[in-house]
Amino acid sequence: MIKRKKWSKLAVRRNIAGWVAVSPVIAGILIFTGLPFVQSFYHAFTEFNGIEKAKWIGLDNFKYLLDYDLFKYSLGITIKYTVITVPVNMVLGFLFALLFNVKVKGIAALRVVAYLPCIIPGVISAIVWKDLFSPSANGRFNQFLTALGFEPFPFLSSPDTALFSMYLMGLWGLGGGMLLWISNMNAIPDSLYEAASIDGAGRLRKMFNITIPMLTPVILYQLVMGMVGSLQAFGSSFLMTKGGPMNSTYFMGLMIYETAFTYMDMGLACAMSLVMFVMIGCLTAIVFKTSSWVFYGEEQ
Amino acid sequence: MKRKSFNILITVIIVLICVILVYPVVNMIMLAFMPYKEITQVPLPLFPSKFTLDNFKLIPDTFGYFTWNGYEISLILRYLKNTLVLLILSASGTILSCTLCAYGFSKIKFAGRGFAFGLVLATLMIPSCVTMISLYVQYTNLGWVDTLLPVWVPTWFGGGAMHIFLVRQYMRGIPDTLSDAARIDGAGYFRIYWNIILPITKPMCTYLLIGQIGTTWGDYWTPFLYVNDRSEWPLATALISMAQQATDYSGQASLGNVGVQMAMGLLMCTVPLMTYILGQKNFIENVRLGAIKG
Repeated sequence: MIKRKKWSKLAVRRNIAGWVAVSPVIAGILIFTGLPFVQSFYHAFTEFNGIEKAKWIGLDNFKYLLDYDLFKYSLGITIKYTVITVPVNMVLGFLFALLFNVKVKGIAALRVVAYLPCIIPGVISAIVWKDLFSPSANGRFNQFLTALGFEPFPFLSSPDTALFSMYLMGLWGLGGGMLLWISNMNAIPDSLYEAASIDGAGRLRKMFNITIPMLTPVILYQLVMGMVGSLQAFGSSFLMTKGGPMNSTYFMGLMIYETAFTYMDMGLACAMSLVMFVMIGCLTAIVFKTSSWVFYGEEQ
Repeated sequence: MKRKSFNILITVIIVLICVILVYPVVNMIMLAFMPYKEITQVPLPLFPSKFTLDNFKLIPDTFGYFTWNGYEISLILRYLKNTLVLLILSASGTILSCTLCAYGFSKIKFAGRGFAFGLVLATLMIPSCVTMISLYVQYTNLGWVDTLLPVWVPTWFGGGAMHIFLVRQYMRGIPDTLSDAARIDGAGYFRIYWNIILPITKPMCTYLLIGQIGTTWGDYWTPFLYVNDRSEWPLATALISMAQQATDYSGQASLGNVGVQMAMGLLMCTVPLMTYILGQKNFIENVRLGAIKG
């Protein structure tokens, strides 16, 4: 009896200590993520300018969005951007990793060089690339194109090419994904490859039957993170084009920001962000539901 | 023989890729040291005829000055001070809250632990654009929008789900014998955290510190969104107008002068570059060693 009482007292102390240790983070989640999330959810159904009291208007914001051409257009280019950049960056990152994993002299230094663009702050890469893309006679890329005998390319200054220029700039950060592939490639046990060699498998065979299956968790990770990231991406358009020319780089993130803080229509902006949240949630769920192709090793 | 030529071919391709990837940086360096006369020249030369520091000297003029105790001081120093204050506050906040939370999740078997951990991971699912509007309203109501509080206070209550997960994994590798011995000697849970677990977790703290320096140094968005008072902005945020005005030429000491922009950009790159180099050495060795020892 006495022994049992003592044990439970210890358990109480342990529970208190545990909750005290995690309480700052749990409080932070409730205050800085949970509460704003609930509020945004509520404000999506209201007319709200951030100052006056929110007025309940039911589904009006969502009905408005259904007929709002700019919103649909913005949603379209955001999806287009995601659908193109995520697979292209994944495949190119993988090819880079294959290349940069070949054991040649000085490869470590070359990897650092390839990763260099990833450590440059976003504002600075925007400054650097805006200058490279400049349509004037002093734009570096156009200087090279003309020197090689091509027509000057408008890059960010034309609605037809601005989004393409954004993809191009996105490729500059391939080094980050590459390092992730490389570190996971090197974690694959050599014994697998040795066994395959004994069985007479060639390079390609090993790649498709060992490397890629062993890397499927990385593929899943990059797919989900890439999707969530590029659906929300708007940094480069905010810094370089402000959504232009003619809204050709007006990503959803930028639209939500401008609706809320430039036009002070926070209710509508919350409705937009909710659409985004549902979209991201559904896509992630679909990817996870159909992730039977992912191989998590032979854990029993 | 075939193998050798294959290697040469691969090396050539790799070097070519590296040249392309590094060219924007080289271009930045060349323009940063180029005399103003050559920057406005058509066509723009590839290399400066002579390397000058003129563009760097123009930086204070470009950003303007403020008076403090009768002295004229460049605004750039004020932005730098703001950045440093943010760095210190947010790095210490992230490290303390993240390690304490990870300690709770890895070393204390309390009731509801799984639920609490699930809650932490669930925050990964909520995109920031959903919470940003309501957070702004909250900060306005609290009267925080003219201060740096919205930028650093959350770090004392967070540290990021991904980081907590990593540090928890690391702490799980620390054997319980140490803390059990301390408990027999009468140490409480928080004494064990502070005197035993935290010192062992030092490599992870270095990793968090390096990550936080990179994040705070480059984060132009959070201060821009939540801090209305421009004199409170850190460097990165102060550079937004520079990025947006790039290549609109309007005089030598202006934000539109590409030379000044590149000089500023080069200076901004030094800190992440240094932390990257230090981190490479420190972080990779320590974390590996720690993992083996644990």
